[in-house]
Amino acid sequence: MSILLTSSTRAVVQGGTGRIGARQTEWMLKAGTRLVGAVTPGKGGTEIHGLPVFDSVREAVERVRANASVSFVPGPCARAAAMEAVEAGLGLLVVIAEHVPIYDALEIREACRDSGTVMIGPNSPGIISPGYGKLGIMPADVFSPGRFGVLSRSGTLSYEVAAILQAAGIGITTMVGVGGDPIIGTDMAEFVPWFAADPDTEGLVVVGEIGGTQEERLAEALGGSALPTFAYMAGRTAPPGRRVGHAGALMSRKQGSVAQKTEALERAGVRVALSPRQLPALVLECPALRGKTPRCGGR
Amino acid sequence: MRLLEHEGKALFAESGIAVPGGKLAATPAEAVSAARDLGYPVMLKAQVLGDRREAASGVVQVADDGAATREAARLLSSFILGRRAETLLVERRVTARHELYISYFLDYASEQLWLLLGLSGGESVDALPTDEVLRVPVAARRGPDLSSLRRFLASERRDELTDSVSGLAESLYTCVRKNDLLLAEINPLLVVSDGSLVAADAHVEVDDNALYRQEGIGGARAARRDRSEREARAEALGLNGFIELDGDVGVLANGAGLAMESMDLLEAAGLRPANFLETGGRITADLVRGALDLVLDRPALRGVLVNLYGGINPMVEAARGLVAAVTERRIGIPLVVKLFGNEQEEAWALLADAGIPTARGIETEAAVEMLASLVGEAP
Repeated sequence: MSILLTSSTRAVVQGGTGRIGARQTEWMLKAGTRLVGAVTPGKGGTEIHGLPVFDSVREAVERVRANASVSFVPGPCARAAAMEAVEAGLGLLVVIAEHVPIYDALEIREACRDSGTVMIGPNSPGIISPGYGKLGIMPADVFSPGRFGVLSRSGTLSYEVAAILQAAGIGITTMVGVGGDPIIGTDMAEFVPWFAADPDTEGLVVVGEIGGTQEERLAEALGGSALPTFAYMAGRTAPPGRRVGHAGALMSRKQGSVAQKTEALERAGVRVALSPRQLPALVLECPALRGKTPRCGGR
Repeated sequence: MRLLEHEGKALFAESGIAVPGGKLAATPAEAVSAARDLGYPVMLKAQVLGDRREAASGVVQVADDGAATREAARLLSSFILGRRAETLLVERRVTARHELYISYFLDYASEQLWLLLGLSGGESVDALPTDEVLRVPVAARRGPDLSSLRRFLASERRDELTDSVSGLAESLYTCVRKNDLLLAEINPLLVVSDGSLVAADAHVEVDDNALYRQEGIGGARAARRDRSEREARAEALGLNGFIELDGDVGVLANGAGLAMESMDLLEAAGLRPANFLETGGRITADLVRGALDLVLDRPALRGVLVNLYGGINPMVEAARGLVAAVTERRIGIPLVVKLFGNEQEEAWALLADAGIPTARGIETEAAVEMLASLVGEAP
């Protein structure tokens, strides 16, 4: 099994007929994702890569029983598209767009919490569950099926980590890119209970970075779970007081440093690597996993 | 983006918040003329970004033409909080019966918007006793819960402030939402003799992601003062992030995490990063060429690390951009590329043809080690 993106997921692509959305739709289909349609207001009745296009999310729910959405709608319109998905009752919403205004993200998050919709992003590479496909922009070829959940605050760095794990024979159940913005729908700690409840997930790999307190909250959430967890965090040399690429990667003089996050995670029993290259050895040495099979299921 | 005091006050005034009468002055003569119009004594306030202008002698009171000329000349010629003021705000002095603190701010630690009200002003809010500060989380769709504000003022036996402060909290929230403000801080908020409130200072930050819908703030954007010339060039190129650092090894990466990892591993290998650079999501040859040009336009650079991952981005485009920049500039310092993913074989071939050293492993350390040895060999 995997989390959130599973055999029961029936996703639509919002903005799936745009230049980027269409290309991404093709890649998601190639990765084996069960997409049931695309949504672009005004383009209903057409097709994209063999998928029916609907004018609204509600129509996609009624006609093809959509229960999830991945949205490629750009920042300025992301809020309207997300609200439409929430009002149509979808259970999972993945917002890929970067540069979503912060108050728009806050309002989407409030609406999702009210309706019980799981929101991933914004500014997220998405979610991938090898075997069930992906709702996002990550390269599918570095993610092999296996027994580790991966939580990441960044995009390309998480692909590098996935490729390093794959080369060491460590596969994954689900990888979630939670998003690089300061206001995101679901932070890393909130995924822990889902991973803990998934019988196939035996441990977690976390790719964190400076800024905010997500890693500290993750440490608290892990305290109550039996999931062996391994982390790498970027930004030891980042300057305080500056947004380092991700809007959320902002360290103040008091809070948000890799050192503080390392301390919190290590207190919760997390093994922290100084570089992605060290992760496979830490995972493979872990006593809690001895005798189990952290290796790729598909290889 | 941070706004100057007078820009922030203009937004406050538009939302119906009273500010002291004031005029901008760019020269001592203009300052004197403004002071005469307003009537002495006046405050001269250097328009620079920063939190402690008073302590840095950036705000003074003057009572006559001689003092106004002298102090305006000083404020316009000295560095205050590391920056030179282009203008002064000349302001009528307002006598306060009492000072308060109020702000809305988006807190990245709690991932929440907060309303803060303090019963004394002037100091940093962190310096106030915690029981004298009200902290209320604000739901974006509903706005501030003013009943908690009323209860707080009642428990502090300051009921006389309830109406004016509630009204101001509402006006300030309107201002925050209308202008997409991540921070709107009035410190001090003056209670004047008739009981009304006047915003004596303005600390305002606008959400960069919302600038497209904030045309009124466009002028401030054109003149943004919170970045260097090269940082402004990076924005014009369309790069997602660029920060000057004090080392001497350039960094070019796609993805904030990958760029930070590159910096961390350089430092671990004894090399010091000269910059943070993140191209953003859409790689083209021109973007990468412009980005590398920007990295190289820095004196005394000893080497450059390029770290790219092509999930869906065409790495051949990236390689073309790198080759173009390197060929055109005939750079004399070591440059090592680590590039992986989509079209990697074709990209590696292009880089090899151009004689650019390339680490073909997935681990960033391999490229850092290669660069470290080349930098070590260089004269």
